Amino acid sequence: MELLIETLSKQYSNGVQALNNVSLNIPQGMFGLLGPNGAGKSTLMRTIATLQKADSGSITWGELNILEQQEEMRKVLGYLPQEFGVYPRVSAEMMLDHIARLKGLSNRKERNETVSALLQKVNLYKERKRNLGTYSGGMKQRFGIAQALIGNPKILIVDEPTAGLDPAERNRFYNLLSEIGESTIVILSTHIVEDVKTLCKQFAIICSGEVMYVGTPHDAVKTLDGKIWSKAIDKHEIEDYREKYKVIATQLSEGKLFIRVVSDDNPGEGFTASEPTLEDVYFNAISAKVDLVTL
Amino acid sequence: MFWTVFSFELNYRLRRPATYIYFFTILLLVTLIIANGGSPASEKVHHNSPAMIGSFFSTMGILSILICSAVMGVPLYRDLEHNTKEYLLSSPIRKSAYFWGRFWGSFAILVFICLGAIPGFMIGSWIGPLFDWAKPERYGPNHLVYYLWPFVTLLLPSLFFSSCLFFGLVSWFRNNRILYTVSIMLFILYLLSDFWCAISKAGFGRFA
Ligand SMILES: Nc1ncnc2c1ncn2[C@@H]1O[C@H](COP(=O)(O)OP(=O)(O)O)[C@@H](O)[C@H]1O
Ligand SMILES: [Mg+2]
Repeated sequence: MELLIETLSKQYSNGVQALNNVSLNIPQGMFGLLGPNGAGKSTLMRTIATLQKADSGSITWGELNILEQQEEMRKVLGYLPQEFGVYPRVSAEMMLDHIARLKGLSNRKERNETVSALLQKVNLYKERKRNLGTYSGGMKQRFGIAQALIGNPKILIVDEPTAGLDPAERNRFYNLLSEIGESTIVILSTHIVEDVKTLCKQFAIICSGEVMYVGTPHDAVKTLDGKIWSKAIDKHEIEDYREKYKVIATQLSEGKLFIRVVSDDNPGEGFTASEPTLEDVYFNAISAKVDLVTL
Repeated sequence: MFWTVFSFELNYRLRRPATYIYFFTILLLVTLIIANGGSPASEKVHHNSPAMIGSFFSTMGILSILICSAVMGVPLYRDLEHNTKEYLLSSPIRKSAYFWGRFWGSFAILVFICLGAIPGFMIGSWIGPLFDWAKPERYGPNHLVYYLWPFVTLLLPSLFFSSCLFFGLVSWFRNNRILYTVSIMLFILYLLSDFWCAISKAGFGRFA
């Protein structure tokens, strides 16, 4: 069953238009929401997670009207907020047990099994008796992942889950998520292109509350076939190039500045054709909205 | 659902040292007051007479405002303070179960803390004569019912009233700093009304 988001809009009371007519079809599997900070990813996720209202639009999952039937939605939902805290003087085990009870696992034996299986999955089993206040950032994040997975959610929403994880933890988390993604809708937000490339069947690029692209990473890269051109220039020339071309990436290396531009035809001037990457797609999509070159 | 929240609240509070610190503070204070013959009983009245216990518990209803604000102020604020509201509230938890589970759980803890006064009374009336801090004839027999009746009829309603007030204030203002102000204000109002009662009983003549 697909999650259908239709013409969703949200303006905060301070005037920020966080979501602007967002429509998305989110199928089973891993779905990435890629966008820079402030794009509206968290706002969209919190709205799907029934934690805040939208001004207009709808979100449905089969028969379920998520914006109205909040309690029904919460029964099938797992949510990992971007920022969250813990009760410092409660152990991970006790807290997970409590959340499991809230999610309706009333049978004690079943609940104990669920909780220890999850603790093992996120590699916190040895530390399960420790108070959450003594956890490191990465451990807290793993606890957060465990609480989101309690009760086998049908819709799993994880908001920038890889922030604060070290590379090994990140890899383990990738594996965990892709396993879950086989049978669940998983919505993952990130500003790291790598996350999308590794994990997602489908993704959307959002920026300033608007959807700039939806599709598979593979198709996304194909849209730029033969349109990416690169060149090494002197640092001080960058302004000239920005005026003349659509510069989407700059990278400093050995005193030279390597730039990538998007152009339908060969711009000449020593530019060479380059294989497009997902980063190119991302920066090309958001270049209309944000200033990319920060030199 | 209610019981889940309620029992977590109890469980959580019973692991916190603060609960026992409050309990034993009350116990100790009452022990010392009674053992030293510090109750306002006049010469022919036992320090632990039912009348004394009754008046003690009604005064305690006022003095316990501070503990009450500490105990009833935290449960809802906890999820704001520790930023746990997002994931807790995205679970299928009913608002009413969340609210009342935390309320009654905390209230049960408050009652437990205040119950410390009863052993305090009993121990005080026992060690007072033992250490010769007060005369043995100033103490009468101790019966649990002498304590439970005024506890339920005099102290419990006051506790309930202030608990509702403090709990309601936090849920309304989503902030618990307001409680310090309000509990001090209540306290001052009590002292003022006490003072006015004294004036009107004694007549203005005495102060003129
Ligand atoms: N509670 C709020 N009140 C006012 N503005 C907000 C609030 N939350 C987010 N915003 C604004 O809405 C925009 C989108 O924010 P957010 O959804 O958090 O983006 P992202 O998660 O993609 O970084 C930002 O400009 C942010 O400043
Ligand atoms: Mg965010």
